[in-house]
Amino acid sequence: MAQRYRISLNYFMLDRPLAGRKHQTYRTVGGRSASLTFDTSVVLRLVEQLQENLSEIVTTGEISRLVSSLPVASERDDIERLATRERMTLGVSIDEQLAWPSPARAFQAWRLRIERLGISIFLEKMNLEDCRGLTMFEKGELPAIVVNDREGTYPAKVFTMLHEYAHILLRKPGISDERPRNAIEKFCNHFAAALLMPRDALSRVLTVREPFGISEWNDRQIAHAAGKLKVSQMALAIRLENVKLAATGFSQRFDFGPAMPSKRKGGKPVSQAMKLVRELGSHYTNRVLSALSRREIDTKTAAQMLNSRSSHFSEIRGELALSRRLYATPVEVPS
Amino acid sequence: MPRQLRFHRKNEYAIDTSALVRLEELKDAASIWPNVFALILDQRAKTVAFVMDELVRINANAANRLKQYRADFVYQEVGDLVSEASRLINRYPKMSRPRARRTVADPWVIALAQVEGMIVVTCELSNRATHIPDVCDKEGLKCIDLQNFVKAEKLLS
Repeated sequence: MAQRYRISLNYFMLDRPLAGRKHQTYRTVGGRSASLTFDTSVVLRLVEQLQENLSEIVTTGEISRLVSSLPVASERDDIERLATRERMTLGVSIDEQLAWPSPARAFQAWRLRIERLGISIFLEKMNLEDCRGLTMFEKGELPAIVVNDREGTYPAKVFTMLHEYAHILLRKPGISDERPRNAIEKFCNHFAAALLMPRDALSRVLTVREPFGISEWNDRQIAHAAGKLKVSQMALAIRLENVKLAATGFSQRFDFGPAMPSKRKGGKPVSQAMKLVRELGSHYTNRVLSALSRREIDTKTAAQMLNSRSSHFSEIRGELALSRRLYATPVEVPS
Repeated sequence: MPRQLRFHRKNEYAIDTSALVRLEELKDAASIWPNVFALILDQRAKTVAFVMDELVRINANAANRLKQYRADFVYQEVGDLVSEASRLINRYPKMSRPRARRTVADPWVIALAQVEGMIVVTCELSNRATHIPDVCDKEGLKCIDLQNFVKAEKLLS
């Protein structure tokens, strides 16, 4: 039964279910909040455990220091200014964004910049009907973002990650579907689009008439500009609407991208270490391995926290170092 | 023989995964393992099936070494452990990690030590009351690390 429900036998030995966390949901189905499928519930339970693991290895003093240094935002803030401020916090220039060689690399770079603030970012497969991503930010814990790995493309994942980052800034964690029927979801969408596509960046990839005004954009122009910025066409369309460079409703021509996971074709085989760092991210993985190095936890506990063999630890460390070298520092922009 | 009728018996040990993982990492592992096998065959070192499951996932070499001793090493009367393990899981949920993907063996190892009057052998570190040494302390159970186990049983030949 434990295997069938993908949960530890110890869970079934509890006299009563553990006090579950209450996850605010911003998702709506016909105006009502929707229930979650089993797959998503399993991910929620897993991420709750990962968060508990982190609380075990990060001191309360460090948690409160990191949390108090995290930027804050309010729904009343000017979203454009907020996005400019946060782009500076994350330290991503437009030149650098345009120089990233691929959407996958863009995802890794954005991810590492956010993780540097002390936010874990996990990639987990959830039912896309349930959500695109979610945020956990309980009192006394470091915040965590979960991006749905069933999003078909990296640009879609980047958008979700920045959307969830906005939930953290607002201190309104929860489960998101990114549908703008909900005011918070609308705010977070607008923020993610503004951060990814500042007006200056739009001018670099589209022939924008001066002064800014509504233009007719064809699919080829949108595809080209979205490719340059490593964003989805949907995100670009929303952004063009928001900055009044496209008519209201323009974005309805586009969708969130393919619902099915993109299949990996060919290429080098992916090692266990790469898979693990991809799923758990650098922040969480680093924290566990650092606690092991400082002898605050033993090898078995580290292996359980990472769900990995101990023999893979050095490879994981190598993977983390490589990832830092490739993505955490600005890409050299050709002059 | 029922536990209460055993007089002056030698120490018996409930071994946790962390101790087996650490043992495999030691440079003297090759000379210690045969003595551990002798303890197992002497029925003085036991573990629970969940430890073997953990070992396969964490350190396959150690798991392979113990494969042929499994019948003697793994405690068979799991039914006897259920109520004690359940009490421990409810009392120490942090140690038991009930939300984890796989069953954490810790409460079962302690339950084995409680039921059979054994000494727990673990390399888990004591911190913030969530690990085996802290729980053993609270439960009044003797708990030693690998180094003390090796010393006590003169396993380094």
